[in-house]
Amino acid sequence: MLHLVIALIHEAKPLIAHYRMSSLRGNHPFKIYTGDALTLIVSGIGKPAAASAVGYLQALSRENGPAAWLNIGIAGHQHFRRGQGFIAHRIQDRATGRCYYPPQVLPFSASSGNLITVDRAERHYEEDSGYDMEASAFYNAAIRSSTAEFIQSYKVVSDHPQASVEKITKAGATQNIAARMDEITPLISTLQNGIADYRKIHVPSPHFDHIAQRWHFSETQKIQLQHLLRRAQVLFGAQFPIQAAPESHKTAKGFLSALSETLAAHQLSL
Amino acid sequence: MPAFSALYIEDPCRSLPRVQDILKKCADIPHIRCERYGEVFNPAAQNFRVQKKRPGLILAKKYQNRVLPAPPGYGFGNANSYYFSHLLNCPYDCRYCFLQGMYRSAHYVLFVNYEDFEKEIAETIEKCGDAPSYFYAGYDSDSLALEQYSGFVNYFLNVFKNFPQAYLELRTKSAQIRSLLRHEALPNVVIALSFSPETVAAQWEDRVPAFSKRIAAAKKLEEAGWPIALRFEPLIDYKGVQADYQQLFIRIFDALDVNKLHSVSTGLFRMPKTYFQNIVKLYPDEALFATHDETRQGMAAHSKEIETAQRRNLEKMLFDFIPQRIYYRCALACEPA
Repeated sequence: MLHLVIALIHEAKPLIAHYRMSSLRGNHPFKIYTGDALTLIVSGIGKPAAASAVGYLQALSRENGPAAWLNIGIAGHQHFRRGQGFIAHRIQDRATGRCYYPPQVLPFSASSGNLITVDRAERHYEEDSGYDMEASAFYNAAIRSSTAEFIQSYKVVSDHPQASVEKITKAGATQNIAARMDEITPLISTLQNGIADYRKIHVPSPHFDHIAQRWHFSETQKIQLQHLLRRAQVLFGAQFPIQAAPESHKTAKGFLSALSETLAAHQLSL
Repeated sequence: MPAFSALYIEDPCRSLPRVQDILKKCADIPHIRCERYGEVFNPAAQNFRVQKKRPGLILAKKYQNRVLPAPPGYGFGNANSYYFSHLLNCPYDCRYCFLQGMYRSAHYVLFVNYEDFEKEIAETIEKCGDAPSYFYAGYDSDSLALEQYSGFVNYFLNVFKNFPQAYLELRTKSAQIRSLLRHEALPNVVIALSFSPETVAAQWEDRVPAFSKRIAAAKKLEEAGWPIALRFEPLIDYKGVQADYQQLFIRIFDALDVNKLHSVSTGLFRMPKTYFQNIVKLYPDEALFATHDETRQGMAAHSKEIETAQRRNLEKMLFDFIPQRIYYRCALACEPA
């Protein structure tokens, strides 16, 4: 699962079209679109809007497990040419000075650069950096529900000292993003593959629901059951050893105890 | 050697010649500035396992606690034992290694202010007077790891050359020994090589050079006159472990001259409970951790019975090859190299 957070609908349009996404029905405070293992939320401009949008999607998808997050949008830059795309490898919140470093450990093909998130549109471009209005808040909100490697921000340069921010048009924003779909789609695929691998590792045991219903387990016992079943899955696969088979036990306590002892007594074979 | 995903450079060390040299060697990856390495290395919500696929290299300065007392029972020196870490994290990916549970990030942190380390080491040696002192450099990483970038061995051999009463242990799984062979062997610099049975290596030691390359490297070092030590740790329990160690010992002691060995040690599979819990969260699919259920004195470990029997059996086998006087038990195992 990948969540896309985009400030303006004009920036989002090429993605909605490319991934054939449809509008999520219901009464939502943001425009939300869904596709195959993909959600897109149109946050609006600025840090509070970006953080709110991330928070809303987190609440909406809280039962779905960890997801990757990608913020896409246009940005200014001191010297990158207009239309150039880059992943932010350092995001600085100008107002607070705080810096974030999204790890670049996945095999992204796009180049990367610095990004400064500002509260008002940048007109001076003094540093060797891109300038946007959402990334720091997006990142700070998204790391509350995922791990940093799967949270990235990708920007397409729309303005620089020789082409000021005032000249940006709605159509231009759409065109900027559309022209970079050749970089954006592999980025999305890489994040989707990465998070899919990550989610596979943390899949709960298929036996849990069945066994949890067989006897009464306290909340503490349910946590213990999850841990023991996960270990059993690793060591024994789908089949329980005979001494820990659920049919051999009459109580939750007896089953947990037998499974725990069986696991501890198991000697690895390499 | 590892391909770093990015270089992170602390502002205060960018101008150092050692850093400039590394920047040139890594010109084709992003160079990212930071104020302090902790900004990159320490934040929560990072995943060591994901980062381990392609870590970045952080170039930083270490400002304090550069030389620390070694944990009790660690190493071959009885008193005046210290360790220092110029590098955090290791290019090898050993599933039993405690670093996975100790750090949130798999990025390497290279502390580039060697001159400050040297000063503190010299002060520590002076404090010990005429008594020998022992320094371990492979506690938080592999001592020879990233040598082509760090130049660590080259620098610190020149330091310890001037202090014959101080011993340096370089602990490694590497087969890259050119930096050592370029120097004349020093009697007070011990090259400690960690070995596991090949079944263990195949299962849990990713990216570690093959046994044949490492034993060939050990032989070359021995021939060049370097004191060689052997480290067998961590001792992990599995079916057939004794036969595998027997085979390992035969191969090693067939290749190396026992009379030239500095020391041999074994270490148990022990890990602080909190690190172990972190690792289990990272690797819930790893069989090595699925059998473990015992914690004693805050350490995850095999049962006392297994530990005792395994160590006794291994020592019995070892003493068929080596004299007991060069053997010791290492109190802490599961270190990187």
